[in-house]
Amino acid sequence: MSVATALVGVDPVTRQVVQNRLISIVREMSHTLSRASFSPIITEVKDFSNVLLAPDGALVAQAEGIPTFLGAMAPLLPPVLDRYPLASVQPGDVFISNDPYSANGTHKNDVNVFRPVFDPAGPDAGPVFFAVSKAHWTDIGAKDPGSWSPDARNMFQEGVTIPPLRLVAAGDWNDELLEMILGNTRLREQNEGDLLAQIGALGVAESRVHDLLAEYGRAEVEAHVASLIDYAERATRAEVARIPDGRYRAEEWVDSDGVSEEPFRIVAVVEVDGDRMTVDLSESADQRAGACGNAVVTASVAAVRVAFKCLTLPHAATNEGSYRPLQVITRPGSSVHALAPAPVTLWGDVARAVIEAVLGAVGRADPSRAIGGLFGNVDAMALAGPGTGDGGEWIYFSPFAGGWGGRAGADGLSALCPIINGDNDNVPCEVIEASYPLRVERYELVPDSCGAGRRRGGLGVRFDVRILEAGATLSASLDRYVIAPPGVQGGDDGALSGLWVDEGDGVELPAHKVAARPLPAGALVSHRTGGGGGHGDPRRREPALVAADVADGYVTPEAAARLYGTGGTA
Amino acid sequence: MSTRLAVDVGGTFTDVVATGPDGATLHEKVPTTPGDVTRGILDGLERVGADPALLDRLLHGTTVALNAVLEGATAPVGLITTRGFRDVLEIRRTSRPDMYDLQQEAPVPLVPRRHRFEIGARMGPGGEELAPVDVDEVRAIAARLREAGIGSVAVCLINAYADTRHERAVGALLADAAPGLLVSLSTDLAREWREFERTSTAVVNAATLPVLGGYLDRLQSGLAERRFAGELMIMQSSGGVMSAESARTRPAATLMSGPVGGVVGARAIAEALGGADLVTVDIGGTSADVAVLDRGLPVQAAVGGFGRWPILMPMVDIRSVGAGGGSLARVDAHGALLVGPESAAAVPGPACYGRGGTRPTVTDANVVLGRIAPEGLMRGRLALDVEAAARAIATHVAEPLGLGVGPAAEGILRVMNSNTARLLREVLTEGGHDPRRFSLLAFGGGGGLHACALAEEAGLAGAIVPPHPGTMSALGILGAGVRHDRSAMFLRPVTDVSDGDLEQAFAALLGELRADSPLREAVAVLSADLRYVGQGHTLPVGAGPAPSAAAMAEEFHREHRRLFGVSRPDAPTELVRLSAALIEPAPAPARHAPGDGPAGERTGGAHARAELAVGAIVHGPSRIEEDGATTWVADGWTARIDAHANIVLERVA
Repeated sequence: MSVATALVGVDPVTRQVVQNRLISIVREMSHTLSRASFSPIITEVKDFSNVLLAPDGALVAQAEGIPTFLGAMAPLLPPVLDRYPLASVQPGDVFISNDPYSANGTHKNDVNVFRPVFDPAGPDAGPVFFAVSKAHWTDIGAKDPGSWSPDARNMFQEGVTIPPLRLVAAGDWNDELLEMILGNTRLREQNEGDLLAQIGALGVAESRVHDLLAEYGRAEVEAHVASLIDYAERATRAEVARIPDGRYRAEEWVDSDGVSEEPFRIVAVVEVDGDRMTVDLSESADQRAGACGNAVVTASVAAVRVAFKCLTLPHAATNEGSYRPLQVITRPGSSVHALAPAPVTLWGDVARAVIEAVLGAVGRADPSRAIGGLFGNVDAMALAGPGTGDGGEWIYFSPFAGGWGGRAGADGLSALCPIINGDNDNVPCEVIEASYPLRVERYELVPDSCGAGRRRGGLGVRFDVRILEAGATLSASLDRYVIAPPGVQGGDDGALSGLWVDEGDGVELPAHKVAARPLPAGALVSHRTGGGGGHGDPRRREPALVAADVADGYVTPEAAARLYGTGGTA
Repeated sequence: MSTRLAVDVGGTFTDVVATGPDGATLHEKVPTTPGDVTRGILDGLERVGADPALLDRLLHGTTVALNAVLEGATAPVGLITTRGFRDVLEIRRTSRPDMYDLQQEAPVPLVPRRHRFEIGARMGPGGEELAPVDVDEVRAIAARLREAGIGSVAVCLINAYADTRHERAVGALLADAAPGLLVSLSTDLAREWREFERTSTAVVNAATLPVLGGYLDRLQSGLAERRFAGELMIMQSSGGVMSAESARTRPAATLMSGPVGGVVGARAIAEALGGADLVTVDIGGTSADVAVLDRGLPVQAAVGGFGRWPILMPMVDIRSVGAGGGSLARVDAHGALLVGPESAAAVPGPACYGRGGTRPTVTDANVVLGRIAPEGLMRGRLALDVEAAARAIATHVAEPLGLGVGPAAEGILRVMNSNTARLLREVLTEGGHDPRRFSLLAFGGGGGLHACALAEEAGLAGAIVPPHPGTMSALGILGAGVRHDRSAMFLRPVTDVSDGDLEQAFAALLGELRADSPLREAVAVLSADLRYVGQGHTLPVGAGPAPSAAAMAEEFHREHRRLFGVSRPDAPTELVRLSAALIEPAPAPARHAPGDGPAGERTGGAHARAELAVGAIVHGPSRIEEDGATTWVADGWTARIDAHANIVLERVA
């Protein structure tokens, strides 16, 4: 009867029903947001997350569009309640924030809105939940359009700062605050639409939570939530306990902070003690000058939580209990715990390295969990030129996909978006050609980019695009163009990423990290992402698999002979 | 006897429905015959008493193409693409919907890389030729396909949606160089942009073409032996049927051929109810299929598909969750009661079937709670072992949770209903529909058992169980008309499009349709997809007989406000795609005789549906039984027989 005694006094059947209802509520928030928004970064890239939080900040239920918001939501509430004590919060309030520092935000484009949800049967007892929506606004001010500046030197170059503030008080809008925020951004109309879409999502959550409270009553709903959190904690602890006890260290590198071309180190020391895990990032490099070199502490914790989720229960519903077995230690003033006014807009580069460092350390604890290095990060590229669009120019912007690392049981996956992105699609070549003066000449896998191994890495992608009109420029921020995705367990490194420009003379010039580089008409831009690191000694790869890779052209005969020693014949 | 007959082949049963000369319908359920399902079909024909020689039309829902893809049993296939794009099939759209599973596998491309060939021909996005088709290059590929023993090939060239000349030239060259080679041109199936989706469509078509062709050969020869001389029609994912000859060239259009039948049947019911808002649930052995009828019309998927291969062809949006009668219940190590998606399947089946199953299923819970009569299903052909069901629930659910068998069985049903209700809510709210306006239309063997609970948990207005819920898909197929669709890209700001432009574009689409499909009587239905600039999704808007961009834009703003609560009439709005369909008027829907018992109210116990006349009322808790299905009228609910012989379930106020 051990299972029954472990229950916390709630009916396990109703608990399961409440779990489904909570998930429905946060998902409906996301549908509402993405249908009412007109911004591709919300509707297509799904750069948002919607949650229900308990008043103490505990995560109750979450819908996420990208992984790195998974652990970044719960820390948003305490700074709001520091300024506006719980007793002063009223039905109809809406709060807003974006400051990475004072509001525990991620970067300034990510705007957070909050709405308390009260029980209509007993509003005096204070809010039951807070509905919270975080969404990436396409522009938040800052020195460059899109507020995307790898070379920003401080937070003030990164856009308008919104500390936690009350935007709507018991239904009354603070129009001055709204004007102040929107007046500091370039895309006022679009931002206002996205803000209203977010607040619409909060309204949906309020009404659905009211239905739930009417059905079960506040006390029972809260008891089920507590029990769901305990359940997630128990299930997660059981997974942590499967990792061998010990202390494991792994290093990762970020190629550039956006200002200097000097790679810097992220270090994770993972300690597993029974069913608890501690991740110490203190050995990571000091905070950096440029915006690719820093993350605030809540963002770094969020990154560790992504790795932790991958290692424990990748398919289970996430709530506060999912993270109770995890402790994260950081050193203030380091690149993973940047102090104001350090720039943090491109915190995803640090997040990628943090995630891989944690996975790398646990891979040492248990080789069956080891995974070869990832091709890189978002590796975004923007092409722009004079045109008839907003602001008199056309802008093509896209993240890119590449190879993932080999696993103990399977080769790495090819052509997949990076770990900080999720359910977001590429821009089809036919859509590019119909929309911009560009012609795509290749969109194909890169042979031999996969790190060799008993289980090889996945392949990177080559995207060659011809510039058809004069006056175009190229901006890009790649990762892993200096330090290759590492192999594990004796596997080889994957190929580097790279971005090259041929201005028409057949000479390829590097352009891995550039801002508004001019391009002549006829230039060919070649974006090539790297491949994943291999897993295990390539000489132990089954000859039939090597032969199949050669027959399919994933691996050339020369590489097969050199790396696998088989020449590609079974 | 009847002149029209429908066959729906499911995993366990083959359903046959025929219309008799007096308009009444005949229903028969026979076991599906694995290996060669045509034997089951021919058996069913015999059992229902239909003389094939007298049939005008045999309509068929088949999952042959779908199963071939799901089971990896497709034919060897080649692919020809523009130079530089042979990996589009493998690169896909680069997304990771499963965000945290580091051990996940990518779908294996249906064409291995070694059989993907490239040619130098190239079109620009405006249909301008940048490089011509090289005859020798195509002939060399034909030779290599032959050497590799490949009998079916897909062709998808970049920007072919803008101009189909190159694809057609390649098709002609292949026909010349390799007689007998089966060729699927992407633009014959879908003339839309997005190279991955179009490539996927062409490849799925090419890979299933020989499979469906072989199947139709067997079926048609079996029918011919029985002197069948009528038309064999195949159900399409769109909800219309096409001739077997069309199906042989367009198997990708048949992927949802099975489940869509129920939605077509639902459409007839919605129409009889004056264009009702319905959400359908078809509960079978392993899954529940869900679809939405918005003001009586089935909602189509923006991009159809299944598994992870998108199909750019009209397809009713049907979603599934692993929750059916055979779904297994268990308690995990941390005390959670889980139901599905694992299923006891046909073998061993639920514990109560007495075929060796010892783990409890949803059906076992229904049996223990008296919601399924113990004397069994299928007119008593399958007697049920109530004790085995109780034992399975006691061991695997009641004891671990410290509950009695009854409460444990109720718990299993509540979790199953909660999982299914989550999908119902998700499908509705994603489309912008308010669940409170929608009634559940529940069918399939298990629909009626769960209807009240699902309506309650999903917050719906009520529930309806149609006549013959167990053969609803076959009934729907029986009432389906022929339908042919064509669409084309039309990416223009609404303010730049004159009524004359639109008229011309629609006329071109209709002209092509009429040339291809010699429908004697057909209604043309025109529509366009619109969006606000910057949006990724579009909304379809009807075009009416005299299409006008301004009128469609107005309708788009209204629809956007109706579904998503906001509209921005001042924001830049664009047309994306024009569609035309030729639809044969459906035959008069099957009439269902209501029961012939006395009217009036009944309470408790069990009632035969055949004895419930129009206006009869049954108060819950009680069950209504008919061949192949049971409706559970929950406590606090009443059932009423409406004028169309539906069971209408309503909460007692």
